[in-house]
Amino acid sequence: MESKTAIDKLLATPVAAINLGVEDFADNLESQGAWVVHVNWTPPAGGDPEIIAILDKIL
Amino acid sequence: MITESALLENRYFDSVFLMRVSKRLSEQPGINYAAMVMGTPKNVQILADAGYEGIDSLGASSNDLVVSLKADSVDAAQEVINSLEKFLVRDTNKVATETKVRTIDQALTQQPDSNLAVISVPGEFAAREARQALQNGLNVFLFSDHVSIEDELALKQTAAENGLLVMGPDCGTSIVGGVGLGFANAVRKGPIGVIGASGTGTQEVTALAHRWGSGISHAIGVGGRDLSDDIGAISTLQVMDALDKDPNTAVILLVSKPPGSKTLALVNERIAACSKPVVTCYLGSEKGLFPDSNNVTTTHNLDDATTAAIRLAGGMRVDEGNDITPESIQRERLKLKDNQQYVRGVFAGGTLCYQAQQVLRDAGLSAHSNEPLDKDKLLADSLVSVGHTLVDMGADEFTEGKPHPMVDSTQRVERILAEALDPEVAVILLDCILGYVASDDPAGEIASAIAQAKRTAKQRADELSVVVSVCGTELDLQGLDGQVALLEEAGATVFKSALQAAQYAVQLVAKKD
Repeated sequence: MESKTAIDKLLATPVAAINLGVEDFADNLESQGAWVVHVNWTPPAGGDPEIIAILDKIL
Repeated sequence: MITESALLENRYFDSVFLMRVSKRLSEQPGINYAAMVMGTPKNVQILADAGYEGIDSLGASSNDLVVSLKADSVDAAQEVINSLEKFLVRDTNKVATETKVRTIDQALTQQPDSNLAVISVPGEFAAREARQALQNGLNVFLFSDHVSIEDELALKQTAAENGLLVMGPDCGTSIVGGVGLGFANAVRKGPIGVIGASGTGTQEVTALAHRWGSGISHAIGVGGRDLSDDIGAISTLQVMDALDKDPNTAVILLVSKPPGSKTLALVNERIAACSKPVVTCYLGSEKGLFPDSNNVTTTHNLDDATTAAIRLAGGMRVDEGNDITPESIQRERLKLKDNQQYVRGVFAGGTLCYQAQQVLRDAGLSAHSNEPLDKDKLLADSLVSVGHTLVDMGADEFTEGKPHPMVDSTQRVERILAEALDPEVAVILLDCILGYVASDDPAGEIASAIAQAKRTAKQRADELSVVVSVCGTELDLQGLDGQVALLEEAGATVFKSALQAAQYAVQLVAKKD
């Protein structure tokens, strides 16, 4: 039997989402009965691209 | 008019929330325009270019909230700035305000069975967050735009290697197992699986399928560039594989602009191997350019695509009917003076604008646009219409630093009123898009402008036709019937199909070009 990819599983199981960004999207998902955790996202390293690049290298 | 600005340090808010607050601020006494953005270099530059003086001297960072008001007086502006906090309070009943989670890792601890990351952070940070989501085994719905094509390719390759999917970037709409992501309409479940490389195209076919008696198993957005030769349909082919296996999908409908030539061969090869019938709708292509081939039913517009999908799924399209007859068209035509020759489209939905251009082109009418079918029809200035003009008000030049017209119709209202001043205009063609995340009352936002436009024409003894298509279902929160009624009361002729609205507009101006 063909193995199931994560995409197949996404289509076959209820949506359980992690939301980053627009809060309305999290509220909207919850109102439709989907599972959702909203991440209280802010730009990493104050949005400084040089520090972000350094962080990405060392982490 | 004066400009007053303020900076709130280390206060991050998402763009949709800020659009809503900006709108409320602009409605305060003495305030003409209000801009609220996070202080990224790009946002600061956009505001400076838009004439918000002194904005670049605030020293804002990406985590700082920038507020800039154009007001009648310093006092009026200061009064709003002093009471900003009350506008920044969120609805405490909503899920998002309860969260203390700050990273994807923490979210996974809280919800280990997560299968999807929904990412709508500013474009410059989006690829980074999408990479982290993929590394954590999550599929990605990438709503953010301004993601480079190099990043898109790298993300999709990484995803494909790991059996994961990237929907997007700039993915406006998906429906996964009945759950709408982004701007989606509420539709019943059914046998049609949609692959959409266009947001409003996906909304239109899913809403039509619902209203015409069928339903949607899944509608998966793949991003507008997925079928380009640069990306090679990575996500499209993955979704086709998944829908082919999906027991709830009987027919697959692919909506996109025409694929790149190498990619078309890839897609056709995959379709030929598909165990289910496939309908394609490559909008903007010349009629007949893509003939039916092995297992493919080729269609030229969103209505025919939906009809074919319903038929191939074993259903029958339920006709909605309308009051339009040859006689009613003739009556409307006779109201127009000889010098009223042109259609002016003012669209919130990019794909609906694109399809309308195709309708005009098929009728032998040449339409200009800021997002033209043919490069030589590009408007020199997006703000100035020429002859037949169909404008996509959701394009970058209208939405950088300003709300998308599906959320806020302010710019569309201004354009509708401007078009009504031109005595050569016969028809103003509009769309009105319902669904999740869209404005609570999109019809109400444009209804008074429609009535005003018709009055403006009447003052010079002209009759101006206003034609509107509504994209939505009776399950949408805005209420389909109520939205249609508002538009009709304002004097518009309303269709529940963007194709039919464009065809009607063409019939009104036929032989007047």
